[in-house]
Amino acid sequence: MKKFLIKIALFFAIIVVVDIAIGYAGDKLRFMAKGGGTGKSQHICYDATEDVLMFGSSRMLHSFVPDVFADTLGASVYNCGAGGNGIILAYGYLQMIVRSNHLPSLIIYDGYSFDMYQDDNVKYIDGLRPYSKEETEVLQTICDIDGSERVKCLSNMYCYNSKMIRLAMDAYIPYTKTQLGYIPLYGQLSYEPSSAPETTPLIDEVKLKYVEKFIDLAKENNIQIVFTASPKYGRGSDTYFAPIADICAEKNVPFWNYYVSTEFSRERSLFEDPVHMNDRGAREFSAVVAHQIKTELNYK
Amino acid sequence: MLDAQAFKSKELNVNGSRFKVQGSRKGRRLVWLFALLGLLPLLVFKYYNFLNNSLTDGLAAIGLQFALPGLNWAVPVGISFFTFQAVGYMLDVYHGRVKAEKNLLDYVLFVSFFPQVVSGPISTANELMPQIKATHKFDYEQGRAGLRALLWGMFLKLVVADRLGLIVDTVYGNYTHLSGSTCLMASVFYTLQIYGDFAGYSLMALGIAKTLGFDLINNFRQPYLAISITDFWKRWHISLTRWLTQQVYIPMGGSRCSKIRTYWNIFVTFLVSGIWHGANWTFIVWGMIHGVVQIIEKHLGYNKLKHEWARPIRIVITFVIVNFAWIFFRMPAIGDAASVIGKIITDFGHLNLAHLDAKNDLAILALALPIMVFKDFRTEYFPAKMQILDKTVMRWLAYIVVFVMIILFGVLDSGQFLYVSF
Repeated sequence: MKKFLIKIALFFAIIVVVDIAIGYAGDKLRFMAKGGGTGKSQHICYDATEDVLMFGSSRMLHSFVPDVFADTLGASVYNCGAGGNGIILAYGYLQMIVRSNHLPSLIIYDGYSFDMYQDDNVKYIDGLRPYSKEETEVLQTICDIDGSERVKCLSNMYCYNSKMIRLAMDAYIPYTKTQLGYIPLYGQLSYEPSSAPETTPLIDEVKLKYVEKFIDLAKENNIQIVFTASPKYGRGSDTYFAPIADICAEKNVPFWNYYVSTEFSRERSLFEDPVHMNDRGAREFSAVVAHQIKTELNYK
Repeated sequence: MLDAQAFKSKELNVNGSRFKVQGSRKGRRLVWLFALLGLLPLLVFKYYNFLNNSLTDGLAAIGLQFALPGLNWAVPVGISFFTFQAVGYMLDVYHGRVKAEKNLLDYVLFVSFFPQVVSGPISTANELMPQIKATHKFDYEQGRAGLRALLWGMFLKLVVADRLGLIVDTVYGNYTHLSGSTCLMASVFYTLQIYGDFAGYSLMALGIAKTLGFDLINNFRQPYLAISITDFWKRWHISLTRWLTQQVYIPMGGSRCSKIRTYWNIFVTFLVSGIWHGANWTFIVWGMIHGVVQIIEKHLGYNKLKHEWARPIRIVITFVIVNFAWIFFRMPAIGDAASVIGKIITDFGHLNLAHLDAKNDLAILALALPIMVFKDFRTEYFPAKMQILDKTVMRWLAYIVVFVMIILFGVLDSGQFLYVSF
């Protein structure tokens, strides 16, 4: 038994050394990133000097064109949208951004179900783990979602779980290329989606708490903020975004709901799939939102 | 079905109480009654809604409206496994394969032994009871073997199965908009996923039990290297095959009867297997496919062929059949399974990898799958070769690499064991 326990202890001692080495390698690769998802995250957290930052899910990623906003607003713009993610990741990013000396003057947040409705919140902290060692506030956010992360994030390997191959690729041959964070889609929706009424799942109070925290953090740092709901094709619910609309009303933040806007939601040629606009649709939509910012927010 | 002579004046011991049975007919009735009572929770929890819905749909099809209220109870985890273990024990006592257990605590531990209660393997009393009664001292080699099995099981589950599952779920959840080639890729991935998931869990259970000093049956023996479906079932979920053989196939007469009767016995056994796996027609179809193919193999004398040159071909043929059968196992309805199969054999469009956003997952699998395949090949074909891999340094290197791969590449958030549903 003694020999057995000694060998187990020795094994884990070796694992600790390997963990430290992998953490070092992961950090190095992260800062070497030339593009891809890693490059984008690094830019957002350390190098974002743009005047306008846009956050949200893949609907932000594919529907908001920085060039269009830049032309209309005369400002530098970056699209921080992340597929399959929402307010929790965005809040973590904002925590990193406000550490820096250069803050944006405007944030646009495009909402979706990932900001309002119940599902597994642990997946949204995955993108924040590599930053948990550098910023205790980010670690707090991670632990707020799942308390056991405080112990798990002690491991560098855990923080870089499922990321090492992408880190290596992005350091040498980036997976994906973006246009100031924006990724255009060029396909066109080829079918009529179901006309069944859209159901709204159970509300997630944790996510809504982070919507409020996001707004508060932006305001504390004198950053103007506006929420949007980009269009979907076909039948959608008028009240789908009610939770966000309520918070925006309470916090005196504009919320522009294009989700079922007939200008877009009946035009199949503007969509790659029912919830993502293609590049043509994104440019048309971005022009509308940019114009609205310029006129209603009097953005200069 | 049962030999009357063998069971005259048998004592039936149930949970420490003795029932003196007067001749085989009463004994038979009692044992079937108790078997039914033992199976009743499984039948209610798992099959009530399925039977209710099927009955309702069937009556609706002929214009009759009738519906019993549905059951909204949480299904006890592992109910299929511990029920079969308990009922199997009772039938073993009845058939004289094992002596009745008089110690209630030992019996309860046998039925609820924690490493295996959730997803098996299904142990027999002959295997586990002596180990429960024995005093265990820590054994270094057994502890080491146990941790090794646990580590490999976690690799199969977290790195292989759960990673494959991310792609499979995406494809099967959206198959109508994806090509047949993509569906074929997903079907192969699912075949590997369910092996990694179930074998991984079984190895973890076996590993934990071994570390505590208990030897459980190894449920898997390189199943995808099987040369026929009959051989497949000697390598896949071995404890279930054993249970069905002893408690269903042999009592029905096994192969010691006419050809037609034997074929019927095989069919019913695999029908029961399908039903055991889930409350859905898809599982029944899956079980029937395996039953029918085995009948064909038996009829053609396929299992008697000994040509070694044909082995690779037979392995591929068996893999293809198993792969297509798993489609029924995975899809929620027969129509969906048929649609996927239809797509595979008619739509040869390119792989929709761009839509899947799976580059990272595929890259990880490109590292993990060869390791799994190599280990299975080595265990099957050359276990004594490449002895350098058994040297201490190489073994430790392997442990470290596998552990690091689990933490770096494993799907560590909310994944679930597929077989926990059973």
